[in-house]
Formats: sequence, C-alpha cells, structure tokens
Amino acid sequence: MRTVLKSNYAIEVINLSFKYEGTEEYALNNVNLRIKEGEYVVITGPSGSGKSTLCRTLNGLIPHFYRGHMEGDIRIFGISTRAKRTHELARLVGMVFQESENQLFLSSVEREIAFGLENLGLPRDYIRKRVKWALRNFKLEGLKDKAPYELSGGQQQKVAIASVMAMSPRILVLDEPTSNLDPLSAFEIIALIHQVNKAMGVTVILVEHRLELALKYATRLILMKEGRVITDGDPREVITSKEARSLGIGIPKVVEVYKRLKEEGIELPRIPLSSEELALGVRGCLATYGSSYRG
Amino acid sequence: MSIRVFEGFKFKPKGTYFYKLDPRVKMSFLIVYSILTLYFSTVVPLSILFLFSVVIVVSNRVAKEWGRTLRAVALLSLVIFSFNLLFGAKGNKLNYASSMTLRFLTLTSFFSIFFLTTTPEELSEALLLIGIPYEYTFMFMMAMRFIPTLARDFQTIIDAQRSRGLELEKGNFVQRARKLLPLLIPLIVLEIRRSVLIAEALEARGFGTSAKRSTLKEYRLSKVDLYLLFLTITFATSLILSSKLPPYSEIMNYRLPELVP
Amino acid sequence: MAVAIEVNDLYFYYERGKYVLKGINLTVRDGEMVAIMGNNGAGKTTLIKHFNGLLKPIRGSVKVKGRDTKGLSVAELARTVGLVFQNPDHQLFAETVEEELAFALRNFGYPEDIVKRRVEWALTLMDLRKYRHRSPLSLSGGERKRVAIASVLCYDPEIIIFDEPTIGQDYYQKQKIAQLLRMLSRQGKTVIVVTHDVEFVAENFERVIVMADGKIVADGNVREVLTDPEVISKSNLLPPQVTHCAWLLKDVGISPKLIKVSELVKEITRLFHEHKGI
Repeated sequence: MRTVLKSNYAIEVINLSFKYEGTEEYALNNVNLRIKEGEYVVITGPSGSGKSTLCRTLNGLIPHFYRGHMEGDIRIFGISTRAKRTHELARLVGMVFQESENQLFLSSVEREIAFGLENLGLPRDYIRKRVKWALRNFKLEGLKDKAPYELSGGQQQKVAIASVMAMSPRILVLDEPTSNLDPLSAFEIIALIHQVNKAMGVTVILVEHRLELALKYATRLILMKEGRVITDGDPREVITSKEARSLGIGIPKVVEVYKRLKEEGIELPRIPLSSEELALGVRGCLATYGSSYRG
Repeated sequence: MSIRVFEGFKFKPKGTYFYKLDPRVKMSFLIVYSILTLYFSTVVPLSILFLFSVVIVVSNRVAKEWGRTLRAVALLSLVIFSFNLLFGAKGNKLNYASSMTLRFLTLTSFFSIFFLTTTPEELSEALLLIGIPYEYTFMFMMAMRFIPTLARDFQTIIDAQRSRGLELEKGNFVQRARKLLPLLIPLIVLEIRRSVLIAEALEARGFGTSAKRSTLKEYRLSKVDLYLLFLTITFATSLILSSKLPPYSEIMNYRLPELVP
Repeated sequence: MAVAIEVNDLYFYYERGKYVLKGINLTVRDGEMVAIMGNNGAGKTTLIKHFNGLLKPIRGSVKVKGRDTKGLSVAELARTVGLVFQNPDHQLFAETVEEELAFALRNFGYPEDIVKRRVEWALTLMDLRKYRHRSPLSLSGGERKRVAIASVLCYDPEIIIFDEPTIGQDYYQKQKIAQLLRMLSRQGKTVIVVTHDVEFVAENFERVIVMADGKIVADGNVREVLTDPEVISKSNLLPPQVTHCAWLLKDVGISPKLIKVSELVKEITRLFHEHKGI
C-alpha cells in the first residue's frame, strides 16, 4: 500500500514560481527548499507573501485544483506533484486548513475520520482500525458520536487533524490552523502538532502568525515576503536576524527581552523561544554570574 | 424567524428506536406514508395518519423540534385552508379545504420525523443503496450539512447591515426589494468563496478518487428493522382495505358537512 | 465624565432557559478605551450586540448615553454606536469602495453634500483614496478590513465597537489597528474592543473586562487583571508572555505583576546588579 520512496528529502521545491490564472503578479517567485523527513518547519511572513500558495503546491492543489502558470518543480519523496493529483498524494501529504468549518462535512466525528479513507476505497477492516487509532491518539473517543460542527473551535481543529492523520500521511501541512481559535485552544493545537511530529515522526509544515506559540517546537523557521523566501534556518538565528526585524513579523516577547538584555550587557546563553526557556536562561545566568563574581 | 422552520428538518441525535433503524427502512417508511397521505382525501384517514405520526414523534422524544416546525408552518396551512375554502374545487369546499390542510400537515410531519432521525450521510447512503450515484447523494448531503452554516452567515449579514442603519421593514415594495441587495450580495460572495475552500478540503481528503469508494458503516437489516417494515405494510394495507370495505368504509369516507347548504 | 454605556443586571438567552449572559453589570464612561476579553463562547459578542440594540435584554437593562435601548431601534442606536464586525465579508456589497462608505450615511438620511464630505474624510483616514473606484470585493483581506472599518467610521459614531479586529491580521495590520484605536480614543471617542489577543490588550489598553461563561470575572486595570492567576485560569486565557516569564521567575525576586517587555528587562537587570552587589 505504501509508495516506494525515492528520495532522502521529504520535500524538494526547485526553482518554483507560480502565477494564478487571471493575475499578473507571481504569487511565488523562484522558491527553493529542501526539507528532510521529521523536520518541524514554521513558515511566517506578512499577508500576501505566498505562504498559503506554497502550502497548496505541496499536495498538488496547485497546479491541479488551482490553475495557473507554474515553473520549476516540487518533489514529495522524489515524486513530482505535476504527475500526481491531490488525492493520489493524500497518503503522503495531509493538509489542514484555517477554517475548521469548511473542512468538516459529516455528522459524527467517527464518520469524519473515516471519510478520507473511504474516498480512497480502502478495505473496511483497515478503515475501522485507523478510525480507532485516530480516536485513541487524539483523545476523541468521548466525542465519537458528536457532530463536528457542534464542537468548539479547538475541538473542531483537533478533529480536522485527526481526520487527516487517519490517512497516515508522512507530511502534515497546516495553513494557519489556530488563527480563529482562542489562546488556550491554540496552545493545545500547537502542542498536538508537536506530538504528531515527535511521537509519529511526521514532517510538519506549519504556517503561523502566532510565533510565541508556534516557535517553541520548531526545528526550522522560514520567512517569506512577496512570494520569495527571505530567510530560512535555525529558528533562534532567523528570529533575531535583521530580516526578521525589517519584515515586521510578530517577534515573540521573550526574544525582545533577550535582545534588550543583551544591550544592557546581560547575555543569556541561548536565544529563548518560550517563557520557560527565558526563565531557565535567566536562572542559569544568575547562578554563574553570582558564582563567578564571588569566585 | 423563518429559520425556525428548519428546526424540525435537522438531525437531532436522541438515540431512541427510530434512530437505530436502517436508513433504507426509514426511507421506505417515509415513502409509504407519503403515498398514503396523498392517496386519501377525506378527513378521517388523514387524521389517523397525522395522529400516528404524532405517536412516533412523542415516543422518539423529538416533540420540541417537531413542534417548532409545525408552528412555523401554521400560517402556511391557514393560507392553504382559506384558499381552498374560497377557490377550492367544486363540491364540498369545507371538507376539501380541511383534508387538504390536514394532508399538508401530515406530510410535513412525516418528513420532519425522517429528517430529525436520519443523518445526511445515512440518507445519502440509503440513496446509494437503492442505486442513485454517489455524486448526487453526496451533493445532497453537503447541502444538508451547510444549511445551518448558511443560515448563520445570513443572520450575521443582517446584523451587520442593520448596524449600518439598514431598515428592512421601511419603505414600499420596490424600496424593500432593493434593500435585499446588501443582504444577498455578501451572502452569495461568501458562499462562493466558501465553496472553493470546501472543494479544496475535499480534494485534500481524497474525494473524487477513481478507486471505488468503501464505507465504514455496514448496513444489514436487523430484527427491529423487519418488525417496523412489517408493521408499516400491515398498517398501510389495513387503512386502505378499511376505506374500501363496509362498514369501516363509511366512517373512513365521512365528509364534513357543507358550509353553505 | 458622563456615562456612555451602562449595563444593569443583564440576562440574555437565545434559547429559552439557556442563559448566555448571566447578570452583567458594567459602566463605560465617555472617551474610555476598553477591551473585553474571554474565550469563544464566553458571551462577548452577545454582549456587544446589546450595545446597538441588535439584541434586547431579557432581564435587566442597557442604557446608551442615558437612553434605555428597549424602546430604540437599531437604526436609531447605530448613529451613536458603530459596530465593526469581525469579518468584512459579512457586509461588503457595493460596486465601489466609495459607495460602500456612503451606504450607512444614506440610510441615516444625510444630504448628498454631507455624504460626499464624510466619505472623503473616511477614505483619507483609512488610506483608501487610491481604491475609491475599485470594487471592495477585489481588494485583499487587510484592505477589505479597512473598508469595513471606514464604512462605520464615516458616519462618526460617538461609541465605536470592534469585534475581534486582530483575527487573521498580520503584524503590520495589527500595528495599524492599534494606531487607529489610539487615534479614535484621542479624539474623545469611546472605544470598545472585543478580542482574545492578550498581547494586543497588554500593549494597547488600560482597562480590560474579562468574561467567562456569561459573567464578568474581572473588570479593571490591565496590569491588575492580566497578572491575576485566578482570573487567567478562570477565564481559560493565557497570560501575556512577559507576565508568564515573571511568574516563572517569582522565586528569584521578579515582581509577578509585569506586562511589558521594558518592565521585565528592567527587573532582570536590577536582579543582576543586586547579585553583583552581594
């Protein structure tokens, strides 16, 4: 049932440019990316920078569903998306969208999770097994018979992720999955995505504005602007780069604190990406600072 | 609000016996009783059918939702009644108007029972089982699924435009008709956008794969299903027979007296 | 100062018996800038729909500029209370941006010369002059949001309410909205913002009202409210990141009542200097 994988990279984007039908400007402009299996990549940038467009190239929605002019190539585990339609890629790339409402169709959580597998025509026993797995792993057993559209926003997004993960994709792409959620639900969804990455070994591509939540677990941060990749690298380096500053992304407060402390002559050992990391840094620094002074 | 009409046509999970029936059985139930309701044109059998539907409603604990729909269509039934009384067919007008109204209410009642206890998927699967292609049954299911969303969007649009001073109740007919534009244009645009988003989400979940679709649920007729099927047929036959055979036929075909002799 | 909005023991439900608002009491004075926070489903949107008469109390009362909303229509109240909805797509319908802005003014029966003048003013204010002849539907998300805001500001309501203005907005757009709110406040407008963006509130507001489950659980100074662990946990919110850091460092002598980056930097620096001084 598994496709034989032909590449070391989960995703290879090669000289990719894309222009939607009926528009003049390129939504993506010569993008190059190589993402290894198991990475946790956060993509951010201002509105209209091409983040969503990039997401849609990864599972073949572009160029198959959204028509336009595409140059370059995308390979998912070595398979070109030009030759494969979205549903053929569904077992490699799962995609979760911003509005949970528009991606939940059925009248119970159980049926919702089964939907994708049913579409692929998989055997009933296998579907049962996967549904059970998803209900258990995403702690949805209690909501099994509930109608997804009657759940809270956070639970809806959880069901959306579970429904996609039931198809056992190797890559999970999420396009601003928390932007309609309240903070605590957003926090929980981000934690869930981390679990998918860590425990299931799935490569995660997460588009987010809320960096104070999203960066905590990221292994890589990509900044985009006007259809181009501006910076790409270690989250701690990228978030403190001058590009990040000039791009005007919401730099987490802990990073601001780190920078200001540095200006004051206090250098924490590591750029913090969460409150916990900052607190830890300050503590450690205080200890050595105190002892070295006394020593 | 007019949106209330839909309350009794929306699936409400209550878990009573009617919910556990095979969708095909529920569908046959709906079809048989709809045909019966259209077959009879006198007050007595139609009242029996209506009362029968009430028994099912009450025993399945959906009286509240059902009541809302019936109340919402009360005005319409009044219209049907008066219209038939005034302009109805020649002959006994009171009898005709009463049975027409009763027929309308009974049909509404049976349809309400069906939709209250049947999920859109069950319905589409039932249609699928009787040979209607998946594309059509799925389209139907999606329409059912997004009616509440549409209603909510529309309410928000009304609120937003009223907040900008739009007064729907003011003005003559033409002016009022023009006031629908600020409500309908955002709704149409919103739903077109939504439909694209829904379509891409469907695509991403493997919809439209050429492989033959499989299903999680398996439908096999249970004992309860067979009982109900049996009861339905017996009840329907006895109603028809009693309307043909004396002495019952006399009661069954009883006509209300003329209003103006 | 005079009272802009006064809510007394307000109860409301959509469905009989299922109360969405359970005894709300609050007063907003003229010229105040207030944030209303709370999780989805806490009753924030239901509450603000009472301020312009879209909803009427089932029990209790809502008074706007001293007038009870019970006897007033939405159209009457809307002149005083402007409500900017979360999603611009719920209202944009006109052929051009200009027409969109004129819509409310015409509904209120203003003469054409005033309509023209107010539209000009709002176009300039929201930096929309270059789009005046464009269809609002052809604009980008951020631009559509600005048109929706302008379409309310153009008739110059005294009280302006924003429902979740920062949702789906990027950093720059958020900054712009913050600037606008401050400017309106400087002009003496009463500004009420419903949001669950805690960082946005910590940076831009002085007074915050926190709702949970149809009730007000806190109403007061942003610093007091957002650094109160009990309020935060009761309302299922998250504290501002700076506050969270301060809480984690409480035991080493950092004040737990910090909300701004500069405050935390100062506190940590102080701590290091004290250490040096041991």
